[in-house]
Parts: sequence; structure tokens; C-alpha cells
Amino acid sequence: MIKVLVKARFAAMLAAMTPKKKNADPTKPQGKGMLILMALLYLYLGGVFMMMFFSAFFGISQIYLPTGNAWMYFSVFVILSFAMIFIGSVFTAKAQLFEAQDNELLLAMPIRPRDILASRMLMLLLINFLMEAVVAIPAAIVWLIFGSQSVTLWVGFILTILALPFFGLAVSCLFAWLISLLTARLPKSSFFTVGAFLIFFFAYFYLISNMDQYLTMFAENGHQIASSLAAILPIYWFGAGISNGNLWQLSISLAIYVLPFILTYFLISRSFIRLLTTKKGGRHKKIELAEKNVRTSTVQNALLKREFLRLTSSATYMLNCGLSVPMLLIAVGAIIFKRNDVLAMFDSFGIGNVKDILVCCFVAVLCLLGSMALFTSPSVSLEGKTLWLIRSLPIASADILRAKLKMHLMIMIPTNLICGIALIIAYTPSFPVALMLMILPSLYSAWVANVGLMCNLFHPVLEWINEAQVVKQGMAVLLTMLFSTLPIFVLVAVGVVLSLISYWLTLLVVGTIIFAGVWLTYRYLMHGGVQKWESISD
Amino acid sequence: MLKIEGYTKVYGTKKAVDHLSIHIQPGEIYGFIGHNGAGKTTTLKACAGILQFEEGEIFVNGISVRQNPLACKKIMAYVPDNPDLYEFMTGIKYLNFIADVYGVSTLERKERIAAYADAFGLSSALGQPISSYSHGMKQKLALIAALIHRPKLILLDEPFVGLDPLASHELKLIMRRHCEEGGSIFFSTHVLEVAEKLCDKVAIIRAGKLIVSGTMEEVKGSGSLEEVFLGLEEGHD
Repeated sequence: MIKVLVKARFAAMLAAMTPKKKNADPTKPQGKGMLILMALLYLYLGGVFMMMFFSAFFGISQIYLPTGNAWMYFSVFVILSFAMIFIGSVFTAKAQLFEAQDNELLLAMPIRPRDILASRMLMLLLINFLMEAVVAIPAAIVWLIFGSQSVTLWVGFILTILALPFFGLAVSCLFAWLISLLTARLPKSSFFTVGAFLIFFFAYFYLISNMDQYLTMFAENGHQIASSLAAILPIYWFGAGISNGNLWQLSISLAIYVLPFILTYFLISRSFIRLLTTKKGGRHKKIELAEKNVRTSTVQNALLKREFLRLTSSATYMLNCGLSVPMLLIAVGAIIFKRNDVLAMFDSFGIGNVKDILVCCFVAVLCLLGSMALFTSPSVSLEGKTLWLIRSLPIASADILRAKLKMHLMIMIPTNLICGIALIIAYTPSFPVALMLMILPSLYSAWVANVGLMCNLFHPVLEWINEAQVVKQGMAVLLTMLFSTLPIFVLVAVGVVLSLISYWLTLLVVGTIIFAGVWLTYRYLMHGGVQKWESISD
Repeated sequence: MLKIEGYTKVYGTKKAVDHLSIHIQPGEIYGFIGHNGAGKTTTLKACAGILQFEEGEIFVNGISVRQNPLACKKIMAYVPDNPDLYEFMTGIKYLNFIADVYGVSTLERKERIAAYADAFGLSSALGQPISSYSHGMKQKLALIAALIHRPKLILLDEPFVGLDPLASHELKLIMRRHCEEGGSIFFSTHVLEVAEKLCDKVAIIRAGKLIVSGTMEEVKGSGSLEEVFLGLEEGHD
């Protein structure tokens, strides 16, 4: 039974990734071209991450291997792998396990609820293995080149690779389960989910960002710390179990990875039906048809309200597509808070006007973080089965598309401006550089909005079982990530060259390039995009 | 009010609807009958302006759906067989959204929402999120939304499915009243008894082709609509 359910889930995931062509015969299966393109895109993204981790592991190996602290190398591997797994699957876990649209359909069939749960957890486990591979492959390659080889070490390493995703899955599922329990009867549950997640997410990243200090401390006093804390410090066991070939430490580590998963599975399976069948939305009373409930607004405002309601009703949508908003604010807060340290560090390089150079870097950072806000890229797919509704109403298609773009800009422009003003006050750059900071990130947000919407119009997926399929795994989102991040590197290269001549010239040229991109994509959306939208049918 | 001329819809190599022609006059309730997959929903969607088609023309009140879909949509309403509504809205927010789109004034929308919600027994649920509604409640909400701007033409796909007897009766009364006031209704149904009692005219479609159409008397003659429908199906087999 689990095999059948996994097959169905896999088919649904593939269908969500590979939209069908217009006028395609519904009885014919999907072509392979789209699948290959999707695989290539994932390979590209995986490759980028692997390169990043390769350089990280290379650095770690150069610091810790000569000092005889090889266990550090593997402990860092475990921590980084867990981080990737958690970030990669926690968004999906809640949606896959507790919010799938086919939950009631499956529960009505003669299938044991724990089998439904198992099939979903297996899919999440598959995602976890893929996430782990991004860290494990570079770690293994670096070790092959620089580490000392032994059979016991490799057996321990491979067993850790096989067991670690279970731990990541346990933590993700527990987190999703707790949130589902708490929000089952709350009317504004999406905000609660987002709030809880953000607290957890940033606390976790605070620890990760300070991990370097902790690891340095370990490296300096590795033997003392390890010998005194070996009995109670799992991080040491995780690494030493592999590097020292210590069977006892390895066994404890593997038990730590696998046992929580088993416990989580039984814990969730006991309350699975109750969670799925709890009526959502809390209690409501009869409303009066008073002025406050019956208000008129223009079509454009009604459409914009619809977009915001759609966004704020879904924690999955907000977290996956809007996480960069709090990240931007926190990053800028940190840059301002650490102002003196940052200035001192750049001063030591002895390069020209430090403040201007720094603020130019911040422009790129704001653009990069802003490019991760992907509100428009799943917005067409999210219409899903309700597409008939907006299509049957007398609304110009251009207005519908404009409302999607407008929502993105209404969130991103104020965020960019707040960040810009704060940075200008803190770093007092010259006038053209300050202008760059105020104009370019918002202009780039408009590019991201347009590109996201275009990608989704080209690759809409209306048949989805849970939102995460289109918000997180859809082809449109992947393409948007590609087209919104890659140009930044080109623009930075152009900007660096031009800034040697004049900041005014940099602002003019880079601003003009982005503006031209925004204008062209907007023109396309209002003509070709409208036609694309009108040709989409559910 | 609605004129379908040689409408053809193709999916890949399969013709879902083949040269369909139907004329509906103001004040008429027109029933659309056929087996599952006959092409009823495909036709209704094309009339509603949400499905593009290859051949033929569809006119609403003399306006081409293909050339001027917005003008057509302004004077009609469509309710699908399985009304998937915005589950992220409450009932009242949804009705407000629809009323905003059609430019219904505050006073008018207040009166109409109160009247229709009362008629369908939905007043107490309007403050709840649509995600908590049953199928029948969603159906009722979709019907209220369709009526809120007083359209000239209403397209209904299986409107009686999921409605309780009281709501079903109320809907029949509303449909009749709408046509008495000069409006038209084009609806698909599998409930032949309802079609027989309610419709002025009827069309039977099979595998995308129109088999028979006309006034109820012309189509059923001295027998029942069920006998005619089954006879046509058997004759084809």
C-alpha cells in the first residue's frame, strides 16, 4: 500500500514541476523535455551549493586536520548537513503531512492512516537525502584529497550519511506537528505559523552564525574540551564517531539520528486523523451586514486586497516567498549594529573612500536578498482550481497581472527604502552612492516581480495537492531564482568597473540597464503576458 | 440573449465539442442535457469566456465573447459544477469582492446579500471562512455571488448538485423569477425531472454533437424527457 501511495505522491510532485502545454491532450502523458530541463536546473542549483560547500570544507580541512582535530571536520559536516536538511524540508513537512488536499480522500479509503503518513514521510526523506547530498558530496571529495583514509572511517561516514536525514526529518515533522496542533483552532493561524517559524529560524541561524567562534574555541582547546565533555557532548561524538573509528561513539550518534525519527513517527501517527479532521478556522459568530462589513472599493483595490488575503492566509506562501523581507531587515540591522567593526575591517585594507565602497556592496546585498522575495512567481499557479472564478469575472487580464506585481512592490519598496535610509544614516555615503542605495534595490525588486510573473505565466501548474508543490518546487520558482540572481553578478561586475571612473556613471548605467529590463518585461507582460494568461485553462 | 454558432473545441486531436449551435431568447430557461464527458461543461465555460475555442462564435446579447469578453462578462454570471471559491476569504469578503468587481453600490449589495443569504439560509455563515463551508454552502455562496449584480444571462453547471431540498426549491423560484423579469438561464443538468418541469427549451448533446433541441414539447412529445434521452442513448449504441 505504501508503495502505491508513494507512487501517487511522486507522480503529483512531477506533475507540479512540469506543467502541461496549452491545448495538450489530457489523456496523453507529459513529455520528457520538461523533466530534463527541470533536472538540469536542479543540477545547476545543486552545483552552485556544492561549490560553496567545497570551498568551506577545504578551509575547514586546512585549519583542523593539521592540528589533529579531524573530528571537527565531521562534526561541522553533520551540523551543515542538518541545517540544509532542516531548511529544505521544514517548509514542506507541514504542507505535505497535514495540509494536503487529498487527505480526506485517502482517509475515506481502506488505507491505514499510518501508511498515509509513512508515504508522505518517505517523500520528505527523499528530499532530505537530496539536500544532504549537496553537503556530503563536497565533504567526501575534500576528505578524499586531504584526509587520511581508513575503512572504518568511511564506513562510519557512509552510515552517518544514511542515518542523518532521519534526524532532520524527525525535527522538521515535530516542528510541523506542533504548529499544526497549536494552529488547528486559531482563526489567523498563518500568522502564528510564520511567527513561530521566524523565531525558530533566526534563533537557529544565530547559533549557526556563531558556530565559527564555538568551533575556533574547540579547535584551540579541542583535546581538553573533548576529553572533559566527551561524555555529554553529542557534537563531539558525531565527529569522533567517524574520525576515530570509535564504535561506541558512532553507535550513539546513529541512535541519536534514528531513534527520534521512530518516536516522531509513532507520536504523529497516533494523532494524525485528529489533526486532519479538526475543523479549521476557530469559532465564528453571525455577522451583521453593517457598513464595516459591506464596503465598496475599486476593481483594482479589490484585486490587490485579494492578492494580500491570498498571501496572508498561507504560511507556506509567506515563508517561502517572503522570508527575505525579515532577512533584509535583520541583515541591515546587523550591518548598522556592527558599523564600527565593519568600517575598521575595511579601513585596514587601505582602499579609497571606505564608506562609499561599503555602501556599494550593500546595494548588491540588498538586491541579492531582495531577489529571494518571490511573491509573483507562484501567483498564477496558486489560482489553482479557483482560476475559473477570476476568469469568469469582467476584469481586464492586465489588471489582474498588475495587482500581482503591485503586491510584490508594495512589500518590497518600503522594505528597501527603510533599509536604504537606515544605511545612509549609519554610513553617510556620498550623494550619488546614497541615491544608488535608494533607487537600485527597489528597481531590481520590480525586475524580480516581472520575471517571476513571466516565469509563472510560461509554467503554470493549476493541479496541485498542496501549495508547497508550486510555492517551493515549481518550475516557475526555480527559473525566477535563476533569472533574479544571475543578473546581479553581471551588474556588480559592470558596477565595479564603472565605479573606478565615477559613481554617477555607475548609477546611470546600472540604473538604466535595470530600468530597461523592467520596462521591457513589463511591456511584454501587458501584451504577450496577457495573452498567456488568457490561454491558461483549468 | 445567447447565440452559439458552430462552436468547436479541440483538445489535442480530440474534438470535445463539434459545431454546436444553440440560440437562447430573453426570458427562456434552457436546459442542456448529456452524459458525462459529452461536452456540456466545455460549452458552458466557453460561453462564460474562460475557455478559448478554435471555431465558431458565441454572442451574448449580440456581443461576441471572443472579441469582447469583458462586455459579455459584465452582463452574465457563471457558476461551475464544483464551485471552488477563495477559501482564504470569509463568505462576506467574497461577496464584497464580487460586488466590487461588478460595481454594485453599497446599498444595493447590502439589500441583495441580505435577501439572497436569507433565502438560501446562509446568513449565519457569512462571517466564517469559506474553507469551513460544506459543498452545499459553497454552492449557495456561488449562487448568491452570481445573482448579486443582477445579470441578464446566468450560466449554471449542474446547479442542483449538493443543494438541500429547501435551497433547491428556492433556486427554482429564483430562476423562474429571473426569466420572468427578462433574463435568461442556460444550465446543464443530469436531473431530467427538474429539467422537464423547469425548462422552456432543451438541448441534448452526445460526444460533443447536438442530437436534438427545441421546446420541451417538441423534444419530449407525449413521452417523458427521460424516455427521450434513454431512447436516444440506446439508438446510438
